Amino acid sequence: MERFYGLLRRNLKRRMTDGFAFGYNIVFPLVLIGVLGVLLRGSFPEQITSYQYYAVVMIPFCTCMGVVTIMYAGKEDAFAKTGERVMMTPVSKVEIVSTKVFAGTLILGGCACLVYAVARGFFGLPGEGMAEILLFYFLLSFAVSGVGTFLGIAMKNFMVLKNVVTIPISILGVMAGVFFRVGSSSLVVERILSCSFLRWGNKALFLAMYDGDGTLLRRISVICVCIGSISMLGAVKRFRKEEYIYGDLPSA
Amino acid sequence: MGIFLVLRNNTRRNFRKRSTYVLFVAIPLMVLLFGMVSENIKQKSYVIGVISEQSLEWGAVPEGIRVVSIKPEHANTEVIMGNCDVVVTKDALEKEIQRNTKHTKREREEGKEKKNVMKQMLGMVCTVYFVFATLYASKVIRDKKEGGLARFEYAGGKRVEYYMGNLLSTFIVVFCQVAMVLVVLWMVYGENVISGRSAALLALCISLVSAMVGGIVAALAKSELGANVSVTIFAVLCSVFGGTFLAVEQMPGILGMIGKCSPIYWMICLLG
Amino acid sequence: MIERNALLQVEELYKSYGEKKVVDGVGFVVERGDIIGVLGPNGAGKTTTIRMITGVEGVSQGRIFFEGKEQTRNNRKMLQQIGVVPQDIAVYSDMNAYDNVDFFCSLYGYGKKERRKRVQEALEFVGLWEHRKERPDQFSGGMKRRLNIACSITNDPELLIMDEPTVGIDPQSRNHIMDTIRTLHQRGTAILYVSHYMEEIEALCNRILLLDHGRVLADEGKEQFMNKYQETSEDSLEEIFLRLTGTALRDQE
Repeated sequence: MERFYGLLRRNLKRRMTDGFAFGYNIVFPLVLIGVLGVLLRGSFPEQITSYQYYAVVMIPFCTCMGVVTIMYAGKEDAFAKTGERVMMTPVSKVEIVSTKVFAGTLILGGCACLVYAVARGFFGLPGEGMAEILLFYFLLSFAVSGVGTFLGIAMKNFMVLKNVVTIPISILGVMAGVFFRVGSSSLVVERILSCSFLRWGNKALFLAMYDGDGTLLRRISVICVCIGSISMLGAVKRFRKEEYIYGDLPSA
Repeated sequence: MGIFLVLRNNTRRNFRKRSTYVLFVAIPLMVLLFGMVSENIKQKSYVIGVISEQSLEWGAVPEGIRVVSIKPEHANTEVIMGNCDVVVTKDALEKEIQRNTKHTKREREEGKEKKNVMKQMLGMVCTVYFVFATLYASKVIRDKKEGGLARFEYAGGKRVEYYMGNLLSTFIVVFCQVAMVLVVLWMVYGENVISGRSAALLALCISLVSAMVGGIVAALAKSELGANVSVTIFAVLCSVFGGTFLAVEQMPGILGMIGKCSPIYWMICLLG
Repeated sequence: MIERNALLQVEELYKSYGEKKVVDGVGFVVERGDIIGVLGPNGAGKTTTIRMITGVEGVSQGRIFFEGKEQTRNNRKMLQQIGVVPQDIAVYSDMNAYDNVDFFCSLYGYGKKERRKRVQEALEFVGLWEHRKERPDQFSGGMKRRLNIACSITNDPELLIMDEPTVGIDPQSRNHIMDTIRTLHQRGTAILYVSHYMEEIEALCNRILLLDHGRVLADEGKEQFMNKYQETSEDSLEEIFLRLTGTALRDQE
């Protein structure tokens, strides 16, 4: 267990000190909530204020955007040239992969919960289903960390992937109503919009907070666990020592 | 001379990458899709949600109004998410339809709507290319780390020449891609929405501004991840303030002033 | 045949990348108390052999025995007993010296108390205890190399593999590192020492393993090697090396 804790401590410290996790997952969402909340005041129905709406939709979106920092975390040992040294110790690939995933989960989940707490305090988000919501944030972070670690450790073409991964997330975010509410009269467009998993996540959160129905949220939480677990197992299965040591670097 | 050498070398490096050519196709498609969805959303009818446990049958409804049945326990969520504009009981449906008939009879200014959609698409193009320009420009971070920049300086070149050459090569590759996007938009939407002259001017300005943003971020960032994250945050904020989602003129007080400082606002203004 | 007293035995190792044979039948034995100098031109297969021994690279063919037991690629028990000083300085620049050594020590599974003791011993051993709170980017080249060694010896290895540990440092630092190696050897650690610096090999090692084109050209005690291959009594190790391996550049490897 000491090896596991040593790696976990190292990964946690790295995520906390590099600043990007906090920037992307605390500062960025709070700024967007504030700005969009002010800009679109009065555009929302009586059930919800603009600040509350953006607080709900922004947290899962920014958590998903954190996949980029997790991907880089998968390559940081290659960049630091310490991958070879780690590989020459009796540490297993399961320990390497799982500590990256769990560290990412704790940091991203913690940031999401912090933003939720601030939003509740400042913008008066309802308190219904708080425990389920906080658990969902951690499980969503687990899924994001699993996918990010898989992309960072197990996929070739990291240099290409890292450039493009935020684009589909941004598109899915727009479809989910993260920047402006989207609804449509066309059934075709509605079907397209419902392809966004973020839309389902937002719906589940609104149902839990404003309609007191946590069923969808629980289902999505289970799906997040499955995605995170499958990605983590995939990363272990596809773990290649050479890829971990050298990374997909142009000079390697 | 140093600037030209770096410009030539980095342009070659950019065009050797397969991803550069993939983006020639992918970005225009993505922007078009965004525009089509956006246009469709703007043609939204007034949607009335009727509370019912089962799906209901009702008679013909006037044009511009749509009736959907929703579960009572999901009423708030459906309204919040914009799936319906109002929720009523079955008995109140008739009244609600009559109340809203006159509001839905609006003259469709198709040209004006298309122009608004074009503005949104432009905002999106700018946002995307701020990020891509930074990715192209951040090869200077790698050059610093691997010693290429040091070697350039040992040969008598100045650091600022290196950065300038890198910025110009970024401009060239981004211009090629943006021009492709704008040509596609001009072909799809026609002269009424975006003239050929506007398209050319926009391509030049978007490429220039994106290259400058990318060059500055790459010069200041210590790592590629840092550059990536910083420019994404900057691009999204410029997009929000610049009028991609809400016109700057409709923004309250100081936010409107901030919006006018956004490069994306300037691009949208060029459209006219 | 498995040598009973051998700490490490490598038998008929082969490694190919496609058509290219990088290691072509390398075999040798490391006994307790040995300091073996591994020599060879660039591309001879030295680093690839080390990587195969430590499991970083897979073996195309051949067997590796540690303390008489055959090892597979995931040979965690063997890795617990060996230390490797890689050619690149493999430390985290965002952590101070103490935290670096502590982290790599934790990968061997030691508890907090035990780790504290081992980390202090390792840093004192390489002369960096006073600089334990400084970061590697504040160190000189020699200090970085010493830190690189400290990170590899916290588990009191039976066998220490050192891949060019003195590259790019001044004579004083090199001298200090060589004294460190002698002390480790006196404590009972066997050492596999890869270097291009002939004077280091001559000063430190009791055996010489010469590799070229992936094959073992010579595997003798130092005295026997010099006696066997010296043409005159003034021939240095470098001259013997060049005679055996040739003076042509190895640009293709």
